[in-house]
Amino acid sequence: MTPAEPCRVFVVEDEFLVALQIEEDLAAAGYMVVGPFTSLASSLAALRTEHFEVATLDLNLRGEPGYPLVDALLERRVPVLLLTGYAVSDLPERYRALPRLTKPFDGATLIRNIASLLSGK
Amino acid sequence: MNSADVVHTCLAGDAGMSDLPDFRTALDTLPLAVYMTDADGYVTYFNAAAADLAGRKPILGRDRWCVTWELRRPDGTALPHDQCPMAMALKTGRPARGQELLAVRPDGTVVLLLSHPTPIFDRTGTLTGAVNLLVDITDRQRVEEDSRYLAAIVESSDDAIVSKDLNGIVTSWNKGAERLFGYTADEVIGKSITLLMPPGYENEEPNILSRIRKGERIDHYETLRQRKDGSLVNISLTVSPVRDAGGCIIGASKIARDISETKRAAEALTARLREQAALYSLAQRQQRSKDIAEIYEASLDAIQSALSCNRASILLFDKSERMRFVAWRGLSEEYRQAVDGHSPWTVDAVDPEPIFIEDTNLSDIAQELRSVIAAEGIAALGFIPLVAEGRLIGKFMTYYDLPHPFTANEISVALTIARQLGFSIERLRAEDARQRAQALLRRKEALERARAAELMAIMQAVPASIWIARTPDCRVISGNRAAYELLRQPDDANLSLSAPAGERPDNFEIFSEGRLLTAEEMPVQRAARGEEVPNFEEEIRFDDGSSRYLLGNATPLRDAAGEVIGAVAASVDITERKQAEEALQESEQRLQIALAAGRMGAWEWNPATGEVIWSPGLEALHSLEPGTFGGTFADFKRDIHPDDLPLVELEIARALESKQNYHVVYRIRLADGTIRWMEAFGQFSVPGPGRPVKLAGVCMDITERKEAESQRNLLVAELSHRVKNTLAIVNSIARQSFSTNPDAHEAQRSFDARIRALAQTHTRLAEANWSGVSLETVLSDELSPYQDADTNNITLRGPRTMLPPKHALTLGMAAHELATNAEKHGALSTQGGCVEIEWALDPQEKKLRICWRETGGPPVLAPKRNGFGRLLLERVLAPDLGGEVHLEFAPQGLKCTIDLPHPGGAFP
Repeated sequence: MTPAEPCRVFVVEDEFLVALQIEEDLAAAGYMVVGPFTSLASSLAALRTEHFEVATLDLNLRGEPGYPLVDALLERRVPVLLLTGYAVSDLPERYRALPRLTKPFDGATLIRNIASLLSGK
Repeated sequence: MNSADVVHTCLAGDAGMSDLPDFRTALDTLPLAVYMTDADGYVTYFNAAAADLAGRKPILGRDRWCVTWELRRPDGTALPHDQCPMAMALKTGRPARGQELLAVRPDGTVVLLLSHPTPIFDRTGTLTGAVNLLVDITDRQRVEEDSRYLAAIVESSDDAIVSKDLNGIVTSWNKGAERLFGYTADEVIGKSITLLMPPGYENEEPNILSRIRKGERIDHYETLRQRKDGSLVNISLTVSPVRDAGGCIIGASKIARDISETKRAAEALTARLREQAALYSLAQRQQRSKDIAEIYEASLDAIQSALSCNRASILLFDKSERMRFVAWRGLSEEYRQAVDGHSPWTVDAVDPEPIFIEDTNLSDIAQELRSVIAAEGIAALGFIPLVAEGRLIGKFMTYYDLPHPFTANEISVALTIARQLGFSIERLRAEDARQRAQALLRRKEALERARAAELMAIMQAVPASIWIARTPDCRVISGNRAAYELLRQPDDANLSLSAPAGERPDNFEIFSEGRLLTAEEMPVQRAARGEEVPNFEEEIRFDDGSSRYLLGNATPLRDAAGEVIGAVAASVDITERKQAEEALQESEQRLQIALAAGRMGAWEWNPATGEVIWSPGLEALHSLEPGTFGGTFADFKRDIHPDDLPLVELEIARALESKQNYHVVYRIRLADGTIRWMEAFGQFSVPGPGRPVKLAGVCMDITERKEAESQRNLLVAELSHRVKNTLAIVNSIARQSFSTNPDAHEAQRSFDARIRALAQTHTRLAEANWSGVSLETVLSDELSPYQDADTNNITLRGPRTMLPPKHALTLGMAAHELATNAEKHGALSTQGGCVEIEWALDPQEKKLRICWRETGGPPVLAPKRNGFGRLLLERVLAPDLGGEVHLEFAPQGLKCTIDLPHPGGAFP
């Protein structure tokens, strides 16, 4: 990965004020943001067209659970970072092992997690 | 001189009787008939003897000539009284002597008399009367007749009548003697009577003669005499002394009677008598005898005596139907052993006839028997069958040393003895059987009594109450101790409710299944009518209000013929059990109620049999009709959700292994596809001997709880999500506030205001339970601080529109930014400025358009920098809500148009 070809991060976050912050943080760290997408439908649509190396996902998209999106991403073997206000116990079993950041989080943590995900790829 | 002459002499020698009363008295009592008449023949005196002879009482002065009734001559012709000797003596003046007359008495009897009339003259020689003496000669005439008669008898008698003198010389010999002894009178008279004496009897005559000389008479002396032809004859001799007129013994008369026939008859009679005596004695002894040996002895005595045999025996069939000696006389051991078992008859012989062997040498006896018999010295024998109750039981035997002709009489006697013996044996056997039966009966009775006593003791001791009615009408019922105690009655009370009033107990009433029973409905009474009453439950209610409950049976008492003669009932007090049962029922009922109320069901599983029992409540939880659960483990598993079945099986296996309590939560899928959550608790029953291990417990439908739980979890998650999202938003607002505004103080103030605005909307949402807030509320919350009631500077206009929480929050923030901008730079910063907000819903397109228009404010300038407000409106609101925001910085005032999709359309 070189700065000339910034790494693309697929961002799904229905809370646009939060998405804005994520976008700023990622951009500041040299990533390129794909999105942010605010709904399940728009995210799934974007999935088919966009290219990206890693994804950050909010699990509650305007009241809709984002699991189908997670499943689709996992199927594509895209590293996924969950960004959620839910406690781990609130998550379905199969998603509990996924990397996760609990809101609110600071930019540095987010970038460290993204980097970790990418290096583990 | 005879007596008549004496009278005549006396009378003649005396003048007058009246002068001599003593003489008259003598006449009166004289046993000779005397009467007197006057000269005309009229009777003037008679004595008692005269009246007796006449057979009448003469009438003095009227009877004439004679005192008799009628007179006849000796030839029987009538003799008139005036011609009688007395009349003749009076008429002739001469006495008569001894004329024979017959006097007939009035009763018809005739008296032969001799009349002796004598005329009486006074001193002058004048006839003054006569006296007559009548002598009754009736007897004298009979003696003479007897003498003649006797002579004829002697001559014609069959008996030999012989007279002899004291020397034994025959003096008379009648025809009977001729016939008896064969000698004629001529041949014997003058000869010695010893002529008749057979040899050996020579001494008899001197003895007879010597006794005769002493005046003794010899009566019926039986002896033997020899006839002329030499044959002997048995005679019975009666010898009497013969005296002369002077009383001297001059000889003897003897009467001999041939008694040979008599003697034979007597001997036969003696034999009969002996037989009869033997039979009588036998009968007597047999009658008295209690012992079979005595019977045998008596029978042998009778046999020997009546049948004149000196040996005899009795044999009876033994159990193996072999004839055995039971009693004997004069038989050797060898003989008995040799003939033992021999019998002319078998046990089944019908009407066996006696067998008599008169001479063993002449009979066709088997050779070996013949020699045995001969060795025993038996020449004749008789087999007489013994029969009892129509069956041959044995025989008795008679043995004779010499050949013996068996007479019909002997056979008859033998049969009589056999009959007697048979009867006796039969009687003794019957008696023996009777005694044995009695002994058995006595033993039985003793046993019965012991058993009865034992039963009585048991009856008294058992903790059950027992009632006994000994009559079918049950007027009297007694009981055991427990019964009296139970009914609180004294030991001698009559427990029958059918007893007459005053006698029957009145301190309780009997109920069954809550109904008062009549006396006839009591179990014991029903049983006394022949009914078996099993497992009867009754309640005894006492007058003090307490109750006892009984469970019992009643059964009829029957006599040997099967007739019902009473009844017996036995009951146990089940009051405690009943109460426990009721308590259990009550608690079970409570449990059922609790189970039903808690949507619970009970179950039990027997791992050994695989049987599963569900309560109706559990069936209901599974939407099964009561009783339709299959009852197997497979039936139980069928409804379990496949995802949860492994868990349930695991838990059961764990519980089985550890014997620990079982607890599992699982889903079931009902027939209609409904999923329900179940929670089951189970516990193993404490295993005991013969008691299988069972897992029993309850099952609860916890679907609602589960749903509530999930709802709660969802809410908690949602809350957590919101709070954290909100914090993330706050975080973002802070960054934007501080990064876009160089004036830190200003930035701080803006941030505080934004957070307050956010909090305001949160409050509204919380108040409405996060269901939503109206657009008007959101807007007025932001604008109300700037409202000037006088100038009416703020106008809100639009239909009632409810916003979802997300819309409310975002629109709230947008309104806050627009309002603060208007207050700082726009229409609300000056007097006269005005903000007009209008919104409209397009139900068809499901769109909401909000228009913010400012007027009357200072001239609008394009913003020098993109602040947070513009960021929010242009970069957040639109993507956040999927709408479009259009900002127009018109000179007359800011205009902002927001187009949003609106899901709910207009709220009514």
